[in-house]
Formats: sequence, structure tokens, C-alpha cells
Amino acid sequence: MTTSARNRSPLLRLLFAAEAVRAAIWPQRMRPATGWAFLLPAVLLVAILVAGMAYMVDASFHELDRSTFRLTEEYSLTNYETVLERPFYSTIIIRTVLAAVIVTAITLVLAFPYAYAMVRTKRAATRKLLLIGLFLPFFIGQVVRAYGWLIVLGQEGLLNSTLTWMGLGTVKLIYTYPGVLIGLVQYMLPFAVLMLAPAVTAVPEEVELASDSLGAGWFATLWHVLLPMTKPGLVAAGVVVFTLTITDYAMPEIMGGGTSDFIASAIYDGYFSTDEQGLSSALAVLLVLGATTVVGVVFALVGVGTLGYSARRLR
Amino acid sequence: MTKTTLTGTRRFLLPRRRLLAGAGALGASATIGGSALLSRLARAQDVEKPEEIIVRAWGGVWVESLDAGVSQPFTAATGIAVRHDLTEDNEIRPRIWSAVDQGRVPPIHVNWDTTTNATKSALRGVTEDLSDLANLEGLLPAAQPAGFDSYPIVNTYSYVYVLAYREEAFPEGPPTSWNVMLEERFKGRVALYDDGIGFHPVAVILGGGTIDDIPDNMEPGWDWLRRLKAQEPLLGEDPDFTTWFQNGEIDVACTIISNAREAKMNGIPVAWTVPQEGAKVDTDGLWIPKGLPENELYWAKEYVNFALSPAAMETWCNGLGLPPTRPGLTPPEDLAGDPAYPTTQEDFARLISVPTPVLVEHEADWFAKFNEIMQG
Amino acid sequence: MVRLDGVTKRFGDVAAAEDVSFELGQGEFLTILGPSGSGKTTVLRMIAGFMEPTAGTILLGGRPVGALPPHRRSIGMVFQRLALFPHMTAAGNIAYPLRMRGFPRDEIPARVERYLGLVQLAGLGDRRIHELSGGQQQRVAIARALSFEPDLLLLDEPLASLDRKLREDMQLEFRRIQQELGVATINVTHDQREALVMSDRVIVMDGGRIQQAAAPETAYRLPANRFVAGFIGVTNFLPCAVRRSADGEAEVAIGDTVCAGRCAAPLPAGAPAEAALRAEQVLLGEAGQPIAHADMVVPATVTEVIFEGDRVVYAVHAAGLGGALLRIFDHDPLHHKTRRIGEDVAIGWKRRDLMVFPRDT
Repeated sequence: MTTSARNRSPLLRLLFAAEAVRAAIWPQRMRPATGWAFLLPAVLLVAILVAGMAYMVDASFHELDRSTFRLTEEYSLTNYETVLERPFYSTIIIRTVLAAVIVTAITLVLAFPYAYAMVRTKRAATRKLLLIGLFLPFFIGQVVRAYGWLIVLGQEGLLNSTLTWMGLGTVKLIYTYPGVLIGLVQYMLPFAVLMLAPAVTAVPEEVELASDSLGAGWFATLWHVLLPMTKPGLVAAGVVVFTLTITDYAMPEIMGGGTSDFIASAIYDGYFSTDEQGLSSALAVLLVLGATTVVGVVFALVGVGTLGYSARRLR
Repeated sequence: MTKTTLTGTRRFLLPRRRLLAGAGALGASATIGGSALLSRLARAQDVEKPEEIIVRAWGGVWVESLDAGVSQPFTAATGIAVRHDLTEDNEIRPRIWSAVDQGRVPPIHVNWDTTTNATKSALRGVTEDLSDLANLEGLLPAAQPAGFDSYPIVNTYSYVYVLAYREEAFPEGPPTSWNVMLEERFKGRVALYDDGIGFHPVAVILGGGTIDDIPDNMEPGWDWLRRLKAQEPLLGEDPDFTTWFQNGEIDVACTIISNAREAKMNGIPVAWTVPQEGAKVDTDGLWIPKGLPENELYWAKEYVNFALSPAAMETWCNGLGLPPTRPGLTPPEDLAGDPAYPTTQEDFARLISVPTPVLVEHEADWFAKFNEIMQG
Repeated sequence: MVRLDGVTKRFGDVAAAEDVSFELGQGEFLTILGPSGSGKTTVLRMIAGFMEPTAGTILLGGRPVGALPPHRRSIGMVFQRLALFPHMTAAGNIAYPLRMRGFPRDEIPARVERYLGLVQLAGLGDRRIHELSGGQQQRVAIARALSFEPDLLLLDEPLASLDRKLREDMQLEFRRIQQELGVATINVTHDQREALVMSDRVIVMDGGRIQQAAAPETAYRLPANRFVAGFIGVTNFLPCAVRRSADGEAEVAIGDTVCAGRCAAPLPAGAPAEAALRAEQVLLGEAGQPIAHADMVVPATVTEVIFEGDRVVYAVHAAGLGGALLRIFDHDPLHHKTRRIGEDVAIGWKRRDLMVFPRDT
């Protein structure tokens, strides 16, 4: 039997050539550092983020001078005082946090059955349909989405024409706070389902059958078995939806009719409309601190291990 | 888009004698403008031409008018292509500021901006002086920004924040007062700009104050806006108004005449009026950021100069439906005599103008107060 | 305790189980044995209530269960992959059915302790599932299935994934616990040894139908058909022609050799048939010599030798049996003699050990 590099396929030869290059620039003795090398791009990205944050923190301690439209040299807490004192800011902060809580709760409640049905269905056609429904929104831009909502929820939209036809009058949902929440839930749902699906997949169907045979009805099984076992997915999805919502800019703009602004809108206005970079920075710093604290508390309570980042696994 | 102002109605008007002379000698003045342009272009053979000039503009009818009136003829005359950058005016400003701060070449050659925002950039010292442009000759006093001896900005036209309304909602004829916004039947069907721009001074008058209360006593205005808040108004930006009118979401709005006119030209049954309380009038202008290479600065100035020439200005401003800061040009047919297209002393007397320095100083606070009321 | 009458399950045109009927008494241990796809798991799932029969009735404790959901049936089940709750302790798992089924709260801890003791896990109740070994997890699973004293215990191949030593230990352990509690049990497996070791009675299934229902020894000694004979034990099948048959006896010609054997049903003369001989019932002797206890002796040549420790496995070629290749298990406690490849030997068997089945066409 002859073994020769020439007998290898072109692809294999390419791969072995790449291997030779790797061996030349990254010799075997550097192997322990390989993990760090892979981390490098991520570290760079985070470093850029941190640098930007540092600039922002610094800006947040300087007041705007309106005779030159530059930040003053002196450090001061004025911007933070303004954020805390102006009723406008407390209003939007409360509104944003409340929205994040409500949207997270509703999204999880809706996403779980969706993910469950998608994972458990025996019919390939059903699963395909659910998957299409899941990924379709990703291909639809914000603007198209905005018009879509107008068509459905507008004064003369689908919902109101239907209600009128049924003799039930009309409801005003678009350009209201509930409208923003509806838009956010619809926007977040695919993210939540995508994060819950693996969690549901990780629960063997046998476990549910076992619970059933042991005397638990469907809801008891849901409460005592399914929810605890999918907790990692629920926590992860909850954290993602919460942070995406609390920092969202587009949906209040699209669905809020201008009177349901979130924190991000106020930050944007400060940076780009009224040139209050310092004030906006202060608001941004508070937002980052607040969101980080919430996520930190969640992880402290349920443990990062619930995200599945732990070595130990069952069977 | 954020829009702003001027310093007193008088600045829009020529002294009576000049007005008469100007009307008689329109052809002559156009010739003067044209020959000035040609002489400069002749000199310009020595200055290296850039491949293109980047001009920031607003989209839709705005950029179309600029292109037809200024950019295309400019390219035809000089061979320099003009690229329109449709970045939001508010988003380009911080980028120019940081470019100048860091000694980089700014992202655009010419910024088409509201006078208030342009003034902020001028105060920050990032604008080139345009005092030596030949075509400044013959412009109205309003072309020069208030509070400056030089021309860091050239104001090119004025515009009015009109009361736009859906004609079907007013079978009895056009509304005569902004107070219709408070009528029960328009609850949830009223719209303003999302920071209240163009409306703060009007609100003061509506709330029982006078023009002299601005800026020291804005409280009557805030009182009136609190009553409007109960009407659940929609707050948006230029394109929103068109969308909302089109979909029957609103009946009444305070918006710039150009947006209402564009909607009307698109077949939406919208009309506009200047109510008895008046309406706010503002100006826009052109400016050039500091930090351009010398030759590019030269050609950027040529572009602005070209924009100020009578022919270019007439096409551009008529496309927008806005009165230019150059007297004696022919207004668009549909707007002649419209109080929202102010050209005479009587027209301006009905409008409310707040000096730019006041706006620069106070508008951010008014936005904040407006937000506080509307977001509550 | 359990009775199935003509139970059938169809998925579209495919019958996963066809006309399955049997009865199981109190304390009896029944194993349903069959290859995968034989329908054994389908039958088990219908009894558990995870699926409904297309036709036929299932009675539990004399009452038809119809569409009664699993949690309303008094059945404990141990699953193939155990299906323990990883977020609970061992004790939590065992207490789960007690809580769900409304046992008095104050009785639960004592009962959990009792069942932990029964499966020899006393003191390990606080362990998380992943802190227990595979065998210990098996014990938790059976304790959980039994703690609420179900009328019936179902085992869905819970031992299949264990290594052989542990599996054999657990087979005996399951049998001990089952007998101690006297609970009626249905076990499903494809492992014939497990079926023979654990069961009072064995049902062999193939193609959705019951092939034989009998005591383990009967199923082994008197397989009802060729499938059962082939599925239980290692059996040599020799093509043959029937010469005559009567009274459970048949005379057949295997190649040039004419011999007698048993048959379940009379076979027409001249019909093609197969003679079956289990590998351990073929005796090995010296070439040309008689073999003690053998009713028939035929010459053969060794073609393959595998030493397995407790026995030697041979493949031999018998020209006189139509050139058939036979597998032989030789335990030879007396001589410890291992043959060579190519060695001429004699093979023989007792007349009662040769079974004749009609050949599948």
C-alpha cells in the first residue's frame, strides 16, 4: 500500500497546506495560548466598547455651554441632577422599565407555547410552518413593519374595520403606549422563541410522559417539570428581551405617536437634537448601570449555570 | 427635521425704494449675478477641481428641488458632480463638530441646515466665512444670520409652520384659529412636531401671552399645551405628517408648508392656512464646514454662490414653495397671494418671528418642557 | 389485573400492533419480547395510556380504560432513559407521584424513606440525580414508579443502556423488588436472556402480532414457530424435505441424511421445511466414533474456532447435511479439549432436540 500526499483529494491537500502554515506561525509550544488567541477579536470589540463608555462617562460630568455649544471644562454633577430632578426623565424611565417588565412577561408567556409546539410537533409540515413564521419577521425591515402595523391597527385599519363591521366601535391602539407594547412583543417574540427552543429540546419527551404517568396533569407537569427544566432558556430569553426592550429606540418612535418615548429616545434627542451630549451621556450611563444591575441580580439569584454554562450535565 | 428662525419680520423686506427699483430691474440684476458667476469661473480655471461636491440635504421634495435648481446646473457649468448626502441634519452636525475638533476633513462640503442649528455650529466656530461671495449682492437683510457681522451662514429662504388640515374635516370652510385643535371631535387626530418646534411661540399667544413674553414668560404657552395634551396629540416628523394624512389618522397638524404642499400634490385632500393668531416663520441656510482642503473649499463656495444666483434660487425655492431671500423673483403660481408664502409687509405682519439668538439660547429648554408636558 | 382483547393500533396503513390479546394476573411478571418494530413498545404505551388503540379494549382491574389519560391510571412506569427529574433530589423524585396523587402530606416522608430502603438507597435521598451512579439512578426510577403502590408496573427496556454486568445485577434486583411487593409487571425488551431470567411468562412478538405466549422454559424448549426458535437462543436452521409426519413427529431428509424430529403441527409429505437445532444441543465427538446420548451422528469438519472462556464456539461443515454450516457451543467440562480448524469430527443430537418448521415462502 502506498501512502502519498499526492493521493489526497484537492480539498484535503488544501487543508493540509493550511495546517503546515499554522504549524509555522503557531508552533506546538504556543498551544496553551491558543484559547487566548481565539478570544482576541472579542477582547478588541469589548475594548472599543469600553473606550466609548469611558468617553461617555467623562462627558456626563460636563455641562453644556450654550454660548459656544461645547461642554465646559469643569467637572460637575449638574447633568445627573437634571436627570433626577426633571419630571420628564422620571416619567420616561418609569415608562421604559415598566414596558421592559411587561414585554418580557408577555413575550415569555407567548414564546413558550410556540417553542414547545415547534419542538414537539410530529408533523414536519407544522414545524416548517412555525419555523417560517419565526424567521419571516427577521426579513422585514422596521419601516415595512411600521406600515404593516398601520394597516392592521390604524384608525381605518384591519382591526378597526372588523370591529366596526361587528358593531363594536373602534379601539385606538396605534400611537398609544399599549400599541408600543404590542409592537415590542411582536418584535421580541422570535428572539425569545429561538432561545427557548433549545431549552425545550433539552427536555426529553419521556420526562413529560413520566410526569403524566406519575399522576400529574398537563398543567402540573408544566409547572413542576417543564418550567423548572427549561429555566435556563427562560432566564436567557428573559434577560435578552428585557435588555433589548429597555434600550429600544425604534418601536416607541414607530408605534408611540411621539408621546410614548423611551429612555433611548431621550438620549437620542439630547445627542442629536438639542446638542446636550453631557445630559444624554448621563442618561445613557444611568441606563447602562440600571440594566446591568438587573441582569446581575437575575444571574445572582438563579446562577449563570442556568444558562447552561456549566460542565456538569445529566447523562 | 428641526426648523427655526429669524430676527424680526422687517428683515425680510427691502426698504421701499429698493423694492420698487428691484422690481423694475429684475432682468438687470439677474444679468449682474450671472456675469459675476462667469468672472469667478474664469478665474477658477487655476484651482484644481474636485471630482465631486457633497451637499447634505433633506429628502423628498427638498432634495429634488435643490437638484433641479442648483446641483444639476452647477454640474453643467463646472463639470463637478454633486452628491447629495441625505443624513439627518441632526446626525451630521455632531460628526462635523468632531471632525473639526480632531482636525479631520469634514464628511460634507456644504450643509443645508436650519438657521438655528447652523447658528449653533457658527457659535462653535466650525463654519467658514462666506462674506466674500459675489451673489450676496442684492439679497434681503434676512440672508445674513442675526448676531453676526459676517456670513458664517447664508439664509436662502423663509418658511411658515402652517395649520394643515384635512379638507373633509372642515366642510364649513378653513379653520380660523389654532384653537380648533382643542375641539372634542379632533381628540387623537391632532399632530405636532415631536419636539413642538414651530409651535412654542404660537402656544404662548394662544395661552393669552404676547410676543413680548418670549422667552421670559413661556408659561401661557405651557398652559395651552397642557390642554392640548388632553387631546392626545400625535407627535412626529416631516414624513409622519404625510403618512398620517394619507391614512386618515389626523385632521389637523402644525407642519411646514412644504410638507403639506407635497401631500396635496400627491393627491391627498390637504389644505393649509395661517390662523388669526399667526404662524411661526423661520429660515434655512447654507454653510460650509471648516477643515476642507483649499481647492475643495473654493469649489464649495462656488456651489453656494451658484445657489444664490437668481435663476438657481428661483427654481430651487419655487420647487419648495418657499419665498427666497432674494427679492423680485417670480413666485410659483399656486402660492401667489397665499399668506403662507409671505412676500409683503402685510404677509409678514401676520407671522410670528423669534430672533435666532433667542432660539439658540432657549429652544433646547422649550423642547425639554414640551416633552415633559407631552410625555407625562 | 390487566386484560387486552383484540387490541390493534394502526398508523395509516401500517399496523403497529394487530389483534393483541392477553391477560395478566396479580403479582405476575410478564415480558414482551421482540425485535425493534415488533410492536412491543406500542402495546406498552397503549396500556400506559400514551396512545389509544385503534380497535380492541384494554381493561385495568376489570374496568375498560379507553381514553383515560395516564395520570388517571394506577400504573407505574420505568422509562428506557429513566426520565428522572434532574432538578429534584432522589427523594424529590420518589415523592413526586405521592404529591401529585394527593397522598397525605405527613405520610410522604416516611413512605419515601421506605422506598429508598427497598431499593437500597437509604441515606442517599438528598442526592441530586446527577450525583448518583447509573445503577443508583435505575433504583430511583423504580422506587419512583412504585412508591404510590400502582396496580401495574411497566418497564420499557430500562436496562438496555447498562453494561452487561450491571444489567445482569439489575435484572435480579428488579425481580427481587417485584416479588417483594407482588406487583403485576409488564416488561418490554429485545434481550432474550433478560426475558428468560426475569419473567413468569413471556410473550414473543413480531410484526405486530403475538408469536407465542408461554412460560420462559416452554418458549425456549418448545418454540411455537420458526421465528420464536430463531429469536430465543442461537439456532441452526437446516433446509429439509418432509418424508412423513404424525403425532407431533416428523421424518425429514436433510441433504442425504434422514432423521426424525418434533413438529408443532402435521406437515404434508414432500413439503419444504426447516430443521432447527440449537447450538448448545449439538454434541461433538471423535470422527468415526459414536457419541454418548446422541440419537443421530453425522461426520463434519471444523471450519472456525472461537474460545470464549466458559465455552468454545465452533463452526462445522457437514457434507452429509446438504453441506450445511452449523454453529456449536461446546462446554466440555470433562476434557477441556479444543479442536483445530480442518479437524474431522462427528456431530450428533438427541431426536427430541430437532424441531421441524414449515419453510417460509
